Amino acid sequence: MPEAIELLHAEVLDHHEVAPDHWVITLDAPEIAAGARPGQFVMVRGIQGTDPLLPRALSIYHADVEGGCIELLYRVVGPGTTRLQEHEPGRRVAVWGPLGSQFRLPEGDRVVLVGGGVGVPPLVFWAERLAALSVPMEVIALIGAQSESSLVGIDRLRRARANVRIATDDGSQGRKGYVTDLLPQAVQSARATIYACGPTPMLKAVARLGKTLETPTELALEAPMACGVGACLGCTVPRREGGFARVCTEGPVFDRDSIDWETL
Amino acid sequence: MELKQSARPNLSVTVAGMELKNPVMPASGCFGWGEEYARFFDLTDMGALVGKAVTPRPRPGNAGVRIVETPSGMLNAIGLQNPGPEAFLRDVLPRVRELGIPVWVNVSANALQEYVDLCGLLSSQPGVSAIELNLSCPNVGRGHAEFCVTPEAVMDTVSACRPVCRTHLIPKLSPNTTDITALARAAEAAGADALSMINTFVGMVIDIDKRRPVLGNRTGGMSGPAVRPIAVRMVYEVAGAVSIPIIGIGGISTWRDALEFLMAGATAVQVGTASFFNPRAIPEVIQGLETWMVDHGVANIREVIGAARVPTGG
Repeated sequence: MPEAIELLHAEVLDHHEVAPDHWVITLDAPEIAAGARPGQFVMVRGIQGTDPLLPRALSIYHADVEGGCIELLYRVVGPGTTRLQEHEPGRRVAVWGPLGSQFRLPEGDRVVLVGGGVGVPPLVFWAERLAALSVPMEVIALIGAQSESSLVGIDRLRRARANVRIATDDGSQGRKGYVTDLLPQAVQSARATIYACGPTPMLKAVARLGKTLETPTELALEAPMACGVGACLGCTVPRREGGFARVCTEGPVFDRDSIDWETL
Repeated sequence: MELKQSARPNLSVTVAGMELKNPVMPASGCFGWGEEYARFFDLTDMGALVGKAVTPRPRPGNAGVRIVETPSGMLNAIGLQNPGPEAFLRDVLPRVRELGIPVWVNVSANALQEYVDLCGLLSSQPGVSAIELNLSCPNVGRGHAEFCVTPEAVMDTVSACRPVCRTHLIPKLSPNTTDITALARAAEAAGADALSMINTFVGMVIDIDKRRPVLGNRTGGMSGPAVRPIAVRMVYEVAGAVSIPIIGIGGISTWRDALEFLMAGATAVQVGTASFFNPRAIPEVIQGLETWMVDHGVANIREVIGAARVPTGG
């Protein structure tokens, strides 16, 4: 028998804005918190109503096993996240997970995290779990955003002892330009492993650089999903070996070489 | 000795001689082959298992965006992704027939002879209780008909499959037609044992920023609660036009929705898109029907089949 997936009507414990249109929601979900691994996600939906119809896939920002809760960081972009944002503490949402694949442990002694926009949350969760390991490891976090106001998760990365380097499109903080501009120097002169999550153009660039730099690279992808559990086949991406992989099930974390980045 | 009266209502129905312990099953393409949903509930609680369509050869599915949300619904253009009949017989069927509930295999093809061959192959397998013939598929070798939306195309396809089909044959009708009762009558005349209805409505969503259709395939099949009233109307009409059983499909998310279809004349129902946004939709529909029967003193679900049908004046 395959392992059961928890489907909960979880109480919203906390819900606050951390940057313009960026919210962190905390859900009372002990069963999900206990099993959650960095890179994984949950499906979230209001319990009532059919418009918007589909749940939203949100990656796990933090899992507090002892406290029995999970945190999700999301940006309000459309009807689904708008409805989610309206859930005040005390209300409940339907949530199921944890779902999908997780980041694998690094091979070398340096970890380079590359996050863009709302791709940052799973990298924060990963940095926290890596910091909890009793293995000496250097963690460099390269974080990109449109501008200073939309940077999220920076304090948590620093608390997890990550060396944070920032790039913004408008130069309002850190280097002006793409976050991937920071990547070659960050992997230099060390056995590094790259973990990336963010917009598809950024992931394509990271995959290309990871190959050029001959550095192991894992990338967490995003795709529109109806079910999140592997049934709808709506979230597929082209595999290098032909055919398609489901982002929800074979992913969201993929090895650099398993995806056909040219046709994605 | 006195037998105790069971308080549990009877949810069992018969579809063309096939006993189902309750009238609720998944709709093809919305449930994989059950392996994902076995992580949420006991699959053997369902009336039957209806799996993802099998095509003559493996199909990788469509490139590009495959799904898009619409008001109370969604469009999909998956492209019948499936591993083909060999992999189905080797990897899937041995597992699902162990469940002990009827297994229906949805069959889809591009040409008449392919339908016939696939129907012959799959209907003769032990553990296959019915072939659901996906008639809403592009181009069944008639050249002029992009979809099986004319009575002639339905008649041709069902008639060709009937002699080779060694189990129940259940055509699944497209709603993308002018008069669905004509398709239903053609299927019945060609020897169908029952009808599944309806498949999705062809729709489109435009990305106004890119000035292009959102879906890679441009068009997609629309499903979800938004289509339900049209589906109920079609079931109601067809129930008055044929005497074979109807499996009602179209936006069923709750037990109330299922009751609408049963009262319109369906003998059983399929739950599709709802499983995506509520993985426990199917067991909740079954449980809800049972609770409603207890609350309303309905001992047998068959009492409600067609209950909403009113005689046309004349």
